[in-house]
Amino acid sequence: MFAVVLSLVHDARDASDRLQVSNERTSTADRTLALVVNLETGLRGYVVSQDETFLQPHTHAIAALPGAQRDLLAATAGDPRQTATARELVDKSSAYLAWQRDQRTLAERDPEAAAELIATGAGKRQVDAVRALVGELVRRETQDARAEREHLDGVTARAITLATLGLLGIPLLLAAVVYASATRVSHPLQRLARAAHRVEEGDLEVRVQAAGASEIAELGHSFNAMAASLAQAREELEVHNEELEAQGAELEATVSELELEQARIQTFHDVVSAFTSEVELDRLAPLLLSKLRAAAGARGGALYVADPVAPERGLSLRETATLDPATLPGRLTPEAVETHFDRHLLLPLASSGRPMGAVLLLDPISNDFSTLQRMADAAAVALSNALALESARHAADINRAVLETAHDAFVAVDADRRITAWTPQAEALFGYSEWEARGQLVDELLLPERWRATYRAQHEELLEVGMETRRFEVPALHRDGRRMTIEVSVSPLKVGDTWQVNGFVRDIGGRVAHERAREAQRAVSQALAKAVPSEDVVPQILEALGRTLRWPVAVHWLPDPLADDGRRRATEWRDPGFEGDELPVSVKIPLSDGPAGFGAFEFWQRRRVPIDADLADALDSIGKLVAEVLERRRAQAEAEQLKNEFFALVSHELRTPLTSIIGYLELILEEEVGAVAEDQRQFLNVIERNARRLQRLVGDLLFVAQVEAGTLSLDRRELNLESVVLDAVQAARPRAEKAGVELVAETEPLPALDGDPDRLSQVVDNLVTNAIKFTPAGGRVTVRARRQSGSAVISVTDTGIGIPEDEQDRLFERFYRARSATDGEVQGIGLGLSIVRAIAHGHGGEVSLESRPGSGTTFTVELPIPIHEVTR
Amino acid sequence: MSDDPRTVLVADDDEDILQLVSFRLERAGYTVLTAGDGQQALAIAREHHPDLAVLDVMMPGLNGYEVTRQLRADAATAQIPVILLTARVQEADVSRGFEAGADDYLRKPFSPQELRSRVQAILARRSSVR
Repeated sequence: MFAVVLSLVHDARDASDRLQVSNERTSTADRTLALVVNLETGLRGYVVSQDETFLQPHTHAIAALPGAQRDLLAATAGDPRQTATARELVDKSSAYLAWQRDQRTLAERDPEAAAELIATGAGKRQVDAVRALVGELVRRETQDARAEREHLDGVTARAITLATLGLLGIPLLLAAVVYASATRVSHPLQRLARAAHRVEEGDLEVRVQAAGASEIAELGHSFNAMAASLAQAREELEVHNEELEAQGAELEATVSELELEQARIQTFHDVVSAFTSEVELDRLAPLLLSKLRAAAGARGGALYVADPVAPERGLSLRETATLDPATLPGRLTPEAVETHFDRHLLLPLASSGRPMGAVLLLDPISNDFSTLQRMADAAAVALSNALALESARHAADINRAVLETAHDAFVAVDADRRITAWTPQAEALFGYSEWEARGQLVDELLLPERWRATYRAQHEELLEVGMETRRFEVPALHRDGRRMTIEVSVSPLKVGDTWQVNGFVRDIGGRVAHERAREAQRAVSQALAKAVPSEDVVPQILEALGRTLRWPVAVHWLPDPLADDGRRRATEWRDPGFEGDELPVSVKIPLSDGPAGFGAFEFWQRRRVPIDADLADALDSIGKLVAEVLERRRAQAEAEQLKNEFFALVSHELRTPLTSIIGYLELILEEEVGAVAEDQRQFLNVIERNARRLQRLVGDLLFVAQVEAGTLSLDRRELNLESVVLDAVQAARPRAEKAGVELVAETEPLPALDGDPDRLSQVVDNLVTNAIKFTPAGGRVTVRARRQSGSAVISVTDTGIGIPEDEQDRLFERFYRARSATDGEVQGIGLGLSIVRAIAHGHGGEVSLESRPGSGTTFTVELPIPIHEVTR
Repeated sequence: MSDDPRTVLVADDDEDILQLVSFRLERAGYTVLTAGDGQQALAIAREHHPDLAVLDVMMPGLNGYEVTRQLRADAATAQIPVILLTARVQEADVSRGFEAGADDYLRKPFSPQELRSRVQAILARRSSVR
């Protein structure tokens, strides 16, 4: 039985060996083919995509191919026919390898040339030749292997059956031998039994020590031989298993190929949904081109599209990719196709038999035309939608443009009378913007209340009758409440399954005239507002009115008894753009009712345009307004003149007697006309003091008047402010002593100042005089002059009664007198501080005060020091 | 023009001031010719060629500006220095005076002392020029 098993096992091993050789040949041939295919696809992928990852399989294939070739030759040794095929295969694949090396160099240097070469299919033909050889080799091997495998399967099955039976028989046999050989053999047998047990457990590597009695030794040898055979058989089974695994791998490859196909279908689906989800031509066009170009692996491309508005014009260039649009024909005509596109793939994009466009693809790599055509069909549908949208938009734009350029306003309402369309003319006419008007009930928005029912009846009737246009006049309200008369031309229109009513609206009331009248009035008001008081305002009014009303010539006539026609041309305005002869029609605007008024304006019109009531009213009121303004200006000028004369009078009539009084007093006091007794001198001094006071008062009044009239003039020169201050303080000393007030001067040298010394002296004098007046005997008045940043600062501080806070603001007002002054019967008329302020302002300075009732007051005058002095 | 450089013409319509000024100038050693209005002033100036004229601006008939202008316009009287007396205070009045050809001006009320010193100053300038 062992012999049978052993022979079977041998037989099986031989068959298995042959099968293994055959497998080896098939797999090495397949591997070679796989490497060749890698070479082809890797480089093609790189050329199309410029993606470096495609080069990895290519690089690997170049390195691995020689090894695979060697393996193939080794595997086919022993079979002359297969060796011959293998040699041919090696030659072809080596040639292809060399060609691919060149191709790769070319691809890295000049991708376009490489793509062109790939497009010729030269590489593919070589790959196909290799594929054919491999196919031949594998087919032969498969035939041989099938026979071997069937044989081996049979042998193996029998050997396994026998071996199993044998294994089961061994324990029985052993039991019999044990029984026969008793104790001499018991130990070796025990070992044998243990080994058999282990074999039973699957350990085929176990061997028994072949020692002991000869039968036992024989038995051990046999056992060992059997175990070795079994081990071999198992090895072969494992080989068989591996083969099955290889088949499984093949199945897996098929599955992954199916997955790849599914991915392709998915990609196609994605592309198509991308097309259909985009309806804007601007975005769809580049999308179509890029997707189709990618799918075809084309070097470049162009998209021609039908004109959405005029499809009969044919296809024109819309979009390009990597191609210069300038080199392409603008229109796609048969001639253009012939002359320009010999290297291009032309995919027509047609939907329902109508040409929507065409895609041109330069040097496409893919030859999967059916997929490309399917994508093109989907593209055509998307393009057709986009073109329809574009065309609809264009139509809507035209409609809107027509409505917006029409003279009349256009308003549409739905069946419920809500406004659905509102053109800019409607906004201009009624004052409501589009967003304000839309959605409102048209009759409530625009019509006076008692006209709404009438309109509603018209509306209902129109909807019932259907197609008909009606024209009617109706009063309407502007947004600002103004009433106007409009003419409306309405017609119903069915849009989809709902009705709307379209209306053209025109203002037939005096709206334009009203507007003109208002503009004229506005222009005159603006001219008056802008006019400088001292200038003649008439020319501006003539120009404003002439321009606004487009009357090119205007004249202001003034009454003149000496002239032939009793008037003279005072002012004339002519539109600079007007060159022409006498104009036939003029409009007169009288400027007052009486004969001694301000004459009249006369405007000449270009054409005979009747003056409507609104404008006539406006012109009438403009005439009155201008007369009023001129009268007011005349009165003002007169008042100004009177004031000036009054000042001249006061100054002359008051000063001349004062001059005499003081002059003669001086004469007497100087004893020019004889000796003066002491008591006489005392009384004369009283007269002189009061005459001087009167003189100062007159001076102050004149000064204030000058400030009022804006004619204050300062006699400015470079001066030393410190000495001005010290002199003024010195002059005030007698008064201070008389009042029992201590007068202190604390000054420092100051930079030269540009000012009027008399006026600045007056400032110090006024402040010091005030301070002495309001400081009780025993108090103190301190005058300081110092420099503080860019200013010279004079301050006068007293220890007097102080000034309540509510009076401080009013103190600098003209003729304002503090309550303490009136209560205490302090002399003065309330001009001193207003003069101080006027002089400070006249020097670009400022005056301020700080006071606490009961503890005293400080007046501060700040005068700017000229820049050149500041930096000195 | 007189050989004695101490003849002064004073013109003012206010008799009091005319007297006052005359008195002062006479006391100072000048020969004073007086005029009550512009016309008279012009006549005296043409006849006596004073060394200096002190003219009030506001006089009835011919005012001070006008008298000055006429003096300047006549070659015989063009050289007579003129001091204007003005009660006006505005700058425009002063510049009008200088435009008319006045050499100096005094604001009213003025101190007769000051007038005397101005007269002396102008006459001193004249004689030094000469």
